[in-house]
Amino acid sequence: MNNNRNFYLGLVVSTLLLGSLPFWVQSEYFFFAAYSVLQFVILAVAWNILGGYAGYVNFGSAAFFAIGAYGAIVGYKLQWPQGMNIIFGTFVAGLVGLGMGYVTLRLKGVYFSIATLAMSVVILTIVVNTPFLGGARGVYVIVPRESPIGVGQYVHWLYFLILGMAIISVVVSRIIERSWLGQGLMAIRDDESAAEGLGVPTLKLKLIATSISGALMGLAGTTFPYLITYVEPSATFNLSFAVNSIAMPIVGGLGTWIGPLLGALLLGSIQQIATVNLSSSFNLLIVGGVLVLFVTLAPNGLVGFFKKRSGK
Amino acid sequence: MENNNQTSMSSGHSSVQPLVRASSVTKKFGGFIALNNVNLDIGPGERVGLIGPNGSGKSTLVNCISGMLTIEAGKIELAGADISNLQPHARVHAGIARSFQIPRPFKSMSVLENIMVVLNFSGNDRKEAGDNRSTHERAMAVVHSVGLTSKKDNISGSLTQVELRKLELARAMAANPRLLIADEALAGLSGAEVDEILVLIMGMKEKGVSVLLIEHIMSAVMQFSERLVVLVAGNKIADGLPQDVINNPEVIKAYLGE
Repeated sequence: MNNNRNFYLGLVVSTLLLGSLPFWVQSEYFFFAAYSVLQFVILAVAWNILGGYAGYVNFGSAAFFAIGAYGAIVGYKLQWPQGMNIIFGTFVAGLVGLGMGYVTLRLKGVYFSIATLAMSVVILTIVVNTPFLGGARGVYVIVPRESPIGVGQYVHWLYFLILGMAIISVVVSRIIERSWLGQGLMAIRDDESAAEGLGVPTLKLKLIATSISGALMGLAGTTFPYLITYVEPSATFNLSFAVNSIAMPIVGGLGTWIGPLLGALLLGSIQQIATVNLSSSFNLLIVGGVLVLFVTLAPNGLVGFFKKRSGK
Repeated sequence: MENNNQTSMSSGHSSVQPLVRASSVTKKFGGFIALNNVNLDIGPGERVGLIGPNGSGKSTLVNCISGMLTIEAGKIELAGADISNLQPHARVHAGIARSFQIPRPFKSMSVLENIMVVLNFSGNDRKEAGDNRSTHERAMAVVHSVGLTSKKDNISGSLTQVELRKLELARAMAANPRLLIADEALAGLSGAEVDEILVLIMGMKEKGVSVLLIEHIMSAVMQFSERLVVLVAGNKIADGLPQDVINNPEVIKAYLGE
């Protein structure tokens, strides 16, 4: 398909472009900022798989992110290689997603959302009371100065990792969107009981969606400990993750793979610029402002806005 | 008490295995008994009309057969297998498809995509041998059969009432069922439109599909039904040849009062 070829062509070009940045951008700080934006790309894309395609609003993104981060901490403490830690954190987050699905997916609409919020608090409580994970005091991660692949500093290595993960997330999301799974999830979003009554195994599809969505959110968290080198609950369970992963898909356009990507690039970049030029304490205010702006002026996000423009 | 009025037609089916058998089905909503010990057999390829005043339990019975509601007592069987505990989607896979009383399209999808969802999820096991068309081609065929070809790319949220009724029926037909349940498929349509849809449903017989039609338009029901079942206040009060049933004094009493 032509459409497919264009996508993968665009993917290769942007990968090469973004991948080449460490070779010609001098500022080390730039890569901290880029890391943060890419991390939000993963969170937004992951949230959209359940929230955008199936219409189930998850307020617990921060918890899944934290599970990924603490999963990596477990591996770090057991002195596993970093690749293992990433896989382990992702796997655990996916498993929790599946479990959360079993417990909460009988609930619909706002009740489901509240349940995800509650789950978030439960997981936070568990982490705070587990000395092995550093409890409320947190845990240090010692990282080498040099990049293990010999290119640049350690932050460049982390940048390469998060870039790869972001690409995987976008590809996974797009594959889901164009498959029977995406079609089934969208049927659930439009009318769940009609979908069930016409042969769509709704519970099974929702469980697949919560697992994949949770796993990808966890994936985003697995390299976080290596970036900040000091992991404690208030940083990992930060409200900012939950708010951004909902706001970004809405601003970009719900239910499409490209919407959350655009939303995350836009909102993520604005926040990084504001952090440098103003103060990071403005970040959530900015997200709120942009969200209000979009909900009133372009309720279908950037994607809907451009579609409307080109349609006329 | 209600069984006295059943004519020989329904008991005749007990010799052949019915496609669907609902035996002693009881459904309660709190203290309200919506269905009271209802028995219903539907033979293979049979066209059955289900009538009754508003609130008599017609849709409840349909929801129990299709699995949208769980039953308190009794049993639903499909070709001899107990399906009482199957989820609705599993019953579709087994061969029971239904349309909804109020059309419930997947609003964000086009007409064609609505059909594709059903084709992709209803199980291809009953796809006829030698049918090697793609899902898209099969969806096109279904859309064509209900006369929506010109609307195939329209978003289903933008359809008119008649088109929605057709789509509703097309989705159920796309599941390639053994029993099609049409819940008020004709409501709100004009005379010519009623005939158009009726032809579609009656054509299902050629494929050996049984049809259970819930309807209020009596002329359509009489034209359609090989057998007529009457529910009143959750009880089955008649089941037999349409002519016999509408002359049944109890049925007349239920509809017209004394």
